[in-house]
Amino acid sequence: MTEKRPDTIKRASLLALVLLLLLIAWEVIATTYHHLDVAEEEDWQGALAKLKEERQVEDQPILFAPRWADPLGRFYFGEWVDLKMATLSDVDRYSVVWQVSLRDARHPWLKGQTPKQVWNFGPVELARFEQKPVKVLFDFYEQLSVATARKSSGQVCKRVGKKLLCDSRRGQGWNHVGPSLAEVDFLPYRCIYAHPVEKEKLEISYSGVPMGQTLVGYTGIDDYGSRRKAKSAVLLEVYVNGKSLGRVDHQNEWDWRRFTFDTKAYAGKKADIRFAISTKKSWARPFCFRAEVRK
Amino acid sequence: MKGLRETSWRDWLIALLLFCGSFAALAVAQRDQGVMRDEGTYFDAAERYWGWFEELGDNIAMGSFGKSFEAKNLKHHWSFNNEHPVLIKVLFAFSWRAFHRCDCNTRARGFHPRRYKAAHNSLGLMSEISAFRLPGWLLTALAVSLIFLFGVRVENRLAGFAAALLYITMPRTFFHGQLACFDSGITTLWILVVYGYLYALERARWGIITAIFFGLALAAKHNAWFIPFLLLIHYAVVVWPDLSFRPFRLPRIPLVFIAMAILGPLVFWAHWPWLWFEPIKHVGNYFGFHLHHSFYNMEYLGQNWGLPPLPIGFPFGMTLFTAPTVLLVLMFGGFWVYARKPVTAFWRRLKQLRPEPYDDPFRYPAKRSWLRPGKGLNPRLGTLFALNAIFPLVLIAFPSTPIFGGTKHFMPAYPFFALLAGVALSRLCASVAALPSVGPWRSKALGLALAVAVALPGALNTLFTHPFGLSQYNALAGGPAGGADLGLNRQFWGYAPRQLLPWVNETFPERANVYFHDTNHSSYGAYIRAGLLRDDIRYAGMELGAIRASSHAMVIHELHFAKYDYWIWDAYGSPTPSRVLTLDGVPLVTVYERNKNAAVRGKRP
Repeated sequence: MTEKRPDTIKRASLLALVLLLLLIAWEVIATTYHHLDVAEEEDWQGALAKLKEERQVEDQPILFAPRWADPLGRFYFGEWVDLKMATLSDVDRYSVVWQVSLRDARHPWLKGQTPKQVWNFGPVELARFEQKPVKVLFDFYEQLSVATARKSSGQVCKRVGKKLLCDSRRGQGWNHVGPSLAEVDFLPYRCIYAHPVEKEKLEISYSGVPMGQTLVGYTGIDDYGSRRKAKSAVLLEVYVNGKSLGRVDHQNEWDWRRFTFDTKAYAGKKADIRFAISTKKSWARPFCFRAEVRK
Repeated sequence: MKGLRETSWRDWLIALLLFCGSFAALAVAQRDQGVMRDEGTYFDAAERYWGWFEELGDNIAMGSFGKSFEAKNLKHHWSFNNEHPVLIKVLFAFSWRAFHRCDCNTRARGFHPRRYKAAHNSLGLMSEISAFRLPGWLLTALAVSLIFLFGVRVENRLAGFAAALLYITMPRTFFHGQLACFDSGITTLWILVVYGYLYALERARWGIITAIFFGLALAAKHNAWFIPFLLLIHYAVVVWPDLSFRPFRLPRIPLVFIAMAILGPLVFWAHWPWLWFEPIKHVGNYFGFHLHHSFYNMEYLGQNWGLPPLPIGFPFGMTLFTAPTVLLVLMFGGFWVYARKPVTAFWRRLKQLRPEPYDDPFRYPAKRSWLRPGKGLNPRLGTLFALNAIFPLVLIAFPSTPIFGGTKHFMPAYPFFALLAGVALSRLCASVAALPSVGPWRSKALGLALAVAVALPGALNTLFTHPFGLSQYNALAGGPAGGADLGLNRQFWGYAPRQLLPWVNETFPERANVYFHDTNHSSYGAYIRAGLLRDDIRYAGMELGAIRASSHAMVIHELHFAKYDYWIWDAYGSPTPSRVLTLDGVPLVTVYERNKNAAVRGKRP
């Protein structure tokens, strides 16, 4: 190795200075750009006006992306995003789905799909997606009022209002079955709350359910429970006319997990469906699920 | 000490100007800064502690001086918030008592932790919130001056000036500098201890002074307990070439360490009346609290971390995404300035090349003693800076460290980041100035221009993200929206609703019962006391019961707070907000109003 010559030092110093100035310029420009490149009121209003013009049917969900933009989406498009629409598990049953997005984000449910039409209002993008909808024959969440619940020991859960109470605490305790708005992986889902009990199964039964090709559903443990030190998995078993159709062993760290069971053998008939929920350790297992029979 | 420069009156004048400028900037900026959860608690603590001093005055006047020191009395005044030492809170108390404007109305009086018979007779220069915060600005401004002087001593005026500007324009540093919290204060005291220690290596009395600084640092925040270990490592590196191995003789323990070991805990004990009775139990509780600290939820790279271990990369990633990139690049340049010689020497030895000419001005054996333990020795400034720049981050990165959260917990590293950056910039300017075409005046102008230019990105970022400093992310992260995309913590401490208060005052009906979410009752009380919030607005309380009872509800967005949104939707029957507070398009707070939207938006499913 030879000693550095003054020319080399001179060139290196000038190069370092130029690079430093370029870095400063980039950081100043980028910082200013990030501050100014923000959707304004008129951008959101423009997207809203266009949606009003284009959306002909009420029953079309609007999804927001990225996830953090959701409050802004609900603020501007709240007219069409009621509790039902804000807490969907998927959009399979809709033929048209709208997406309002920022920063070229795509909602996870629309990944891989190409929008039919796109409109841009400043940084706000409105996109219309079309898909072949699935037909839902029976929604177990919507039909919870016709369900019965019992523990495998034989104790029947009493219906009080929308809930089926499995203990004597008039619905205030954890031991019941009922409609719920759960937070799973920080997202909201409407589902059937069914906290498992110790050393026995909690069974929820539906009679005369019209059957189709598949039974699709989702399982989750409310974040309030899954974030605690309780880690026990929750087992959901599905029975058709007393015969096992399938099971989901929902792990504590799972997100809102989809399951699909083949029901072709029962398609076109009516059947009795039973969901059995159990766990090894029942402490802090606010389990929730939803399911539907699809044609 | 060889290698350290003397300071002149000009340097002290510049330090004073930097102090005044920083103090003024913080004082102005904090006027629209929300009250942090911790601040609310410290406000209450400060007022309670002031009560003891007030009573002490009364007792002295009545000739019953000893009464103030009875365990019952001490317990009464000092038990609140006894998990933290009280130096900085006592400063808040004195500042509040001296400067606050006491135009408390009837309802606001109810928000004081103590009852007062009459309005306070004070200077009335500022609001209560500002008066509590003033010591924070003083300490932060002091850090800026100290960094400048430190830079002057280790390198030159340009290095110090650039380092000082880089430090105060770091967005997170500026944010915490406004507040009545401990993080900026401990950062100042940390650098003060290191500054004193460097003097103490050659001057005996500085050993004692440094030990007192260390005691004050212990009295500010618990992370100061680690400082002596870093300084010991540094001293071992400094003294290593001067050690005799035949026969092996350990160096005598320097005065500065002995003084720190004795005076540090003594100052710590003396400053804190809570330790004046049942000291063993109370010290045990204090350490126990911090060793078994409850875990905070922290979002990092899209995941919520509520149970340890936090990813090892967290403090490094957060620094990468929040500190100005220019500062970080220059900091690495600073590391290289100090590491170049040992690294190239090692490289040459590895490659069996001729070593570089030996030009070390230090000759051994040195004339050191236990009073002047570094005399004649190379002060190893690079090692000193590197240890202090890296250790605070490493401490948080340890898997066994409780999850504390934000960048504030490793802020003591940042003055050393700035110093390393300042040194790098100064060396670069020096090498450019050595070019024949650059005269002395051009060289000075270039230095000044560059010092200002390197601070510009941080200053802009601070300006654009004020007053939401905890939601700030740098250009590398893509700004606040980029930070949200990356899944980085949106904020904490529940302070953002402060910006909604004018709107709340204007639009909320009389006696609205508001769920303020993470804004605690003390902060709410501080807003009312300062006249920032209408005094008929009620605080609904906490958790689901409060949401159900409320007429209006806020959600301060953090990933782990999502459930509050859904509880409100469920309770109000609608997911439609009345207002969304944003920073650069990123939602920070969402407000809901019961019955406003439910009827229009449809029924509950």
